[in-house]
Amino acid sequence: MNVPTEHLLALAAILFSLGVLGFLTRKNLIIVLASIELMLNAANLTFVAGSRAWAAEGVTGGSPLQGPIFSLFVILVAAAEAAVGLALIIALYRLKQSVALDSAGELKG
Amino acid sequence: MSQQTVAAAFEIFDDAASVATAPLLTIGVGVLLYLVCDIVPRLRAARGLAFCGTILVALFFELRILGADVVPGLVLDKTFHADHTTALFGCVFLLGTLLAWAYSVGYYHASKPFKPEHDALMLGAPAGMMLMVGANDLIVFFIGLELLSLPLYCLAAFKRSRIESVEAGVKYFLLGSFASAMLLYGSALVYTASGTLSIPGLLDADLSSSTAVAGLALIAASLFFKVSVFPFHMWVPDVYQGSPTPVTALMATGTKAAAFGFLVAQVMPLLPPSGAPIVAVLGLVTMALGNLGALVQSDLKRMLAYSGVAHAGTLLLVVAGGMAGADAAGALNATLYYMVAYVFTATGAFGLLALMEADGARFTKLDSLRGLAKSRPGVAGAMALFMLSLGGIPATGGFLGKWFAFSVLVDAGMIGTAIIGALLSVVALGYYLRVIVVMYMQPASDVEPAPTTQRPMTAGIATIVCGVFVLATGLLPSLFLAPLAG
Amino acid sequence: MAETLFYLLSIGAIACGAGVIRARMPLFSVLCLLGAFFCLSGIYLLAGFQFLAVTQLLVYAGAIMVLFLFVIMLLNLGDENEIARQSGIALSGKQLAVAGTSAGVFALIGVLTAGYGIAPVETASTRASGIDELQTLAVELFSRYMLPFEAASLLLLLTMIGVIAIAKRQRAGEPTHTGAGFPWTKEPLDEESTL
Repeated sequence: MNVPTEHLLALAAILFSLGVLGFLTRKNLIIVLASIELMLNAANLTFVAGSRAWAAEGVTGGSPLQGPIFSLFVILVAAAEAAVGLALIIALYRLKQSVALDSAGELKG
Repeated sequence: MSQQTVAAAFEIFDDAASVATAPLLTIGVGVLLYLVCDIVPRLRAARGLAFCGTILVALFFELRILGADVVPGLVLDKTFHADHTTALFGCVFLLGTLLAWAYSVGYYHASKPFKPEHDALMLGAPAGMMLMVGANDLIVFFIGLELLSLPLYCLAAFKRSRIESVEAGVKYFLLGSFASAMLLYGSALVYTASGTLSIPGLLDADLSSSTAVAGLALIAASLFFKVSVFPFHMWVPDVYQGSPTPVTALMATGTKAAAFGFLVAQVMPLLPPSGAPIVAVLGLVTMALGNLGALVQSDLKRMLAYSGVAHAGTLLLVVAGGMAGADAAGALNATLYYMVAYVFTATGAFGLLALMEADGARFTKLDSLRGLAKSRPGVAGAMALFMLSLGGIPATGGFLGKWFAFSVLVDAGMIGTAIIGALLSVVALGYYLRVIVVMYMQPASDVEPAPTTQRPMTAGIATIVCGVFVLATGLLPSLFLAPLAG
Repeated sequence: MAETLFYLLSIGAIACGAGVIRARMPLFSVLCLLGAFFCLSGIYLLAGFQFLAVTQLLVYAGAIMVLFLFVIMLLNLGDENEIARQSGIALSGKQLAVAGTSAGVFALIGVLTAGYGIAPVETASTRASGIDELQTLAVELFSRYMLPFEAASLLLLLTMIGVIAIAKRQRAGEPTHTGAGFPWTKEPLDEESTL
C-alpha cells in the first residue's frame, strides 16, 4: 500500500473529531460511550501510521514496534472501559429508567 | 526462541528492577490474597489484616528504597524509575490509601453491599499511582493511570442505591475516559513525530514540529483534567460531593498527587519555557475560581472540593515556575512537600466528614457542625487543625507547602505571580476560618439529631495519624526533606 | 489496487463514524461503530499490521460489541419512543458553540498533521511478515514492557470486580459485611435491604 502517512493521519484526525463531536453533543449515554470508542480507535490508527512511517524510514530496534504495542494496550483498556461504562449505565438505568445524560442532573450548584 | 525469550526476560528483570518494583508486586499479590481471604469462609475474619498487611509490606519496600544510599534508578529498559522522590511519593500514596480505608470502615452501613469488593478496589489504587509517578514511558504511565482510574470510577458509584453516587460515577467515568482518549491521541501524535514513547527519548528528540506540539498540548490538557485545573475543574464539585466520602478522600489526594508527580517530574522538562505565562495564568484562574466557589458554599463536602481545585491551582503555579527556569529539582521537591501536607490534611478533613456521616448526620451542611466543639470536642479540634493547615497557617504543613511553592516562583523571577497567588491564598482563609467559627462560636440548633455512639476505632486512629503528620510537616520539615537531599 | 481499497475503507470508516454520532437509536449507532471497526481493521491489514488487525476484530467486534448489544437488549432500549425522543440531536446555542470550537480545533490538528512529511516507502521486510511480527511483539511485551503487561492483568481483575459489584442485582437477605474484617471485631449485620 503506497499511501502517504499524511492521509492516514488525516483519517485519524477526522475520526477523532467525529468522536469529540459525538461526545459533546449526544445525550444518550450508549452513544456517548460509542463516541469514546471511536476516539480510541483514532488514536490507534495514529499509532499505526506512526509505526509504519518509522519502519519505512528504516529505523530498526524497538521504535516501530512501540506503536502496535501501545495499540494493543489501548484495545485492552478500551474493553475494560466499555465494561465499566456499561455497568454504570445499568446502575443508572436501574435508578432512573433512562440512559439519557440529562437524567444525571441531581447535583447542582 | 522460547528459551531466548525467557532469557531476555530474566536479563531485564535484574536486582535493581526487583527492588524498584517490589512495592508494586506486593500490591498485586496482596489483592489476590485479599480475594482469597474473602472467598474462604474461615479466612474471612482476616481480611482487614490482609489489607493492612499488604499496605505495610509495600510501605516497608518503599522505605527500603528511601533509606538506601544507592537507588535503583532507571530499570526495565528505562521504562520505570525508582529513586528517593518516587519512594516518598509511594509512601504517601500507601498511607493515604490506608487512611481512606480506615475511614471507610463503618461508613457504608446504609448501603452495605460489596464492602469486600470495595476494599479490593481500594487496595489496587496505590499500584496505579506508583506506576504513574515512576513511569518513564508513556505506555507505563497510561496503564498506571487506568489502573488508578477504572477502580475509582467504580468506587465513585459504590453507593448504588443513591442516585448522587451513581451520577458521580457516570460523570467521573465519562470525563475521565474523554481525558484518557485525549492522552492517547496526544501520545500517538508525539510518537508519530518523534518515533519514541520513552521520556528520555523524547527529551533528546526534536519536538518542535506542529504534530509534536499538538500532541504535547493534548497530553498536557488531559493531565490538567486529571488534576482538575481550569477549564476542566467543572466536574470536581459534582463528583466529589456525590461519591462516598472515603472514596472522595482518595480521589482528591491520590489522583492529584500522582498526576502532579508525573507532570512535574516527567512532562515539565518537555514543555517549552514560552508556555510558562499561559500555565501561570491558568493556575491563578484556577485558584481564583476554586476560592470563589468555596466561599459561597454551604455544603462542607462541596466546599472542600472547591478548596481542592484552589490547591491544584497553587501547584500549577509551581509547574509554571519550573517551566520558566526555576531549578527542576527544587520544583519537584516543592510539589512533593505540598502534596505530603495536602494528602494528610485533606484525607483527615474528608475522613472526619465520613465519620460524622456514618454517625447519623446524613448531610454535610455547614450548619450541621454548629456547636460541635461542645458535643464532640475531639472531632472539632481535629477539624480545626485540618482547616488551619488547608488555609496555610504557620506551624502546620499547609504553610510550609505554600512557602516552598511560592519560593519556586520567586526563584523563577515570577514575583508578580507569586504575590497574586499569595493574596488569593489569604482570601481562602475566609472560608476555612468560617468552619472554625461555626464549630466553636455558634450554638447547636435543636433540630439536629444527636449523634449516635457508633465510632469505629480505625477512624479515630486515622485521625490521630493525619493530625500528627500535619503537625510534623509543619514543625519538622527536615524529617521529610532529608531523604530528598541525598 | 491496495491504494484504492484504502481510500474505499477510509470513506467507509468516516461514513460509519458519522453514523455513530448521528444515529437516532443506540442500536444503529453501535452497528455503525461495528462497521467502523471493520474498516479500520482492513486498513491495519493493508498497512502491514496483521496481528493488530486480528486483535481489533476479536476484541472490538467480538467482545466489546457483544457487550454493547447485550446491554441494549438487557435494558430493552430502542423500541421505546421516549428514548428515541431523548436521543435526537438537540443543540442549544451553547452546545453549538462548544461543538463548533471543538470541530475547529481538531480540523486544525488535521491540517497541522497533514503538513507532516515522511514519505513511506514499502520495504521488502514489512511486506513479507508485517510490521508487528508476532514473535518480536511477544519478546518486546515480555521484556521491555513486562511491567505494564503485568499491571494490565491487575487492571482487568479489578475492573471485573468493580463491574460486578456495580451492576449485580442485590438480593434481599444476602449476607453483607460492614466491619473492618479484623479477627477480634464482630461484624455488625445490617438487616435493611437496599435494592
